Amino acid sequence: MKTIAVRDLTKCTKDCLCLYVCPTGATDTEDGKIDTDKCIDDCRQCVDACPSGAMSLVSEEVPKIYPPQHYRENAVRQKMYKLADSKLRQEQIAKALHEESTDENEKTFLKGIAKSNRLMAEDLMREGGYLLPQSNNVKALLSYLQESDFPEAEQDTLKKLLRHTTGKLLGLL
Amino acid sequence: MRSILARLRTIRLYIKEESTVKEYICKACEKYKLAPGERPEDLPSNWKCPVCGVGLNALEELVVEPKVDPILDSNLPKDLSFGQLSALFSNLAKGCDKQGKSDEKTLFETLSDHYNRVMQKEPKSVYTKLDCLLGEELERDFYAAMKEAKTVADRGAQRALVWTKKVSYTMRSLLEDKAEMLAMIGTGKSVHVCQICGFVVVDDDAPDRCPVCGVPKFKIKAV
Repeated sequence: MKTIAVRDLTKCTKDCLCLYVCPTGATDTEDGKIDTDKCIDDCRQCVDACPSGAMSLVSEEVPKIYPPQHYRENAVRQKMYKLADSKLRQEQIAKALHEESTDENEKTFLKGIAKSNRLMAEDLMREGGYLLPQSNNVKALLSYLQESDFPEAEQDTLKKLLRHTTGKLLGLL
Repeated sequence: MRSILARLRTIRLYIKEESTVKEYICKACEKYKLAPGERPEDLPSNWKCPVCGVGLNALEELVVEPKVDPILDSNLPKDLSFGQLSALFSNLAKGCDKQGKSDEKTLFETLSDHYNRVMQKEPKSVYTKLDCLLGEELERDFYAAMKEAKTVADRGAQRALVWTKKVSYTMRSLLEDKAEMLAMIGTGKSVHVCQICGFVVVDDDAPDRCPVCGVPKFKIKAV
């Protein structure tokens, strides 16, 4: 179990204090990603040093770090799912209208409408009980999909993800 | 403040280390445990359990059941539509991205794309259908969902409902003023979408903060 640093490049202001304080040089990489092999478990020197809040600590494994997900009443979830469905229908309609349209301005407009609907649907599903990728809820859903008649071609992805959610990467037990 | 944090970290590290030390228990009585750090191979071969008198053979590693985060609802929603699954997984992909987990992000995206392909297509795609769906949401569904969420004091759900409702009003107004919006886009204005809540605005530039969810400008992107 290792708790390591991640860097949010959109917040990074290139003050480079993480480079000054990192004992192993894990923060000094060409692509801006932290070298997870070099990063020291729970060290957090870079997180404390960064003036922009661009560095965070995340756990490679879950149980001790993430609290259990909040309980969500089924009645609330059903209402959230219903709204998500309506947003997704609107996304589909906007996409179809986008396909049909020959007007570039209208295409741009519809692209925005479709994107907004997707984002709202995502938020509603997330608050409907699927916030944390490492949660048992997600794991149970993936297992369920694997047992249902899931298409052959995607089985591999599902298997890999389950291995990740159960194994060391997403690290759920 | 810093010293408290440092102390908390030390305590956490201590707990971590302690939990990795193996413990042994006599399986015959299930009462006697070896002292922490004590191993069966260190004991004399004629060792007998002080509680039940059984020998070394009965000593086994104590397996502590891991703490499991309870599955929220034993009734796993087996009726999720393909569209809902697609949105659920594209959001989890973002959740992985935020944690710097790029492999998992790609896998969740693959699943989302799959459900996107197979999700039910709308039989008739017309603007009036968008108005109709928005009308049903704003006049009925948001109210019902909010009532339910308030009854059980579900703050997360209320937060999502407040944001999506506000964005829905914005969207309805954009659709009503479609002709004007298209003309504005024609004069070089962009369609900006807040990547957090979905707020849409047609303008030269994105606002400094999203008026719905309050995130700073860099989270609001032109399509």
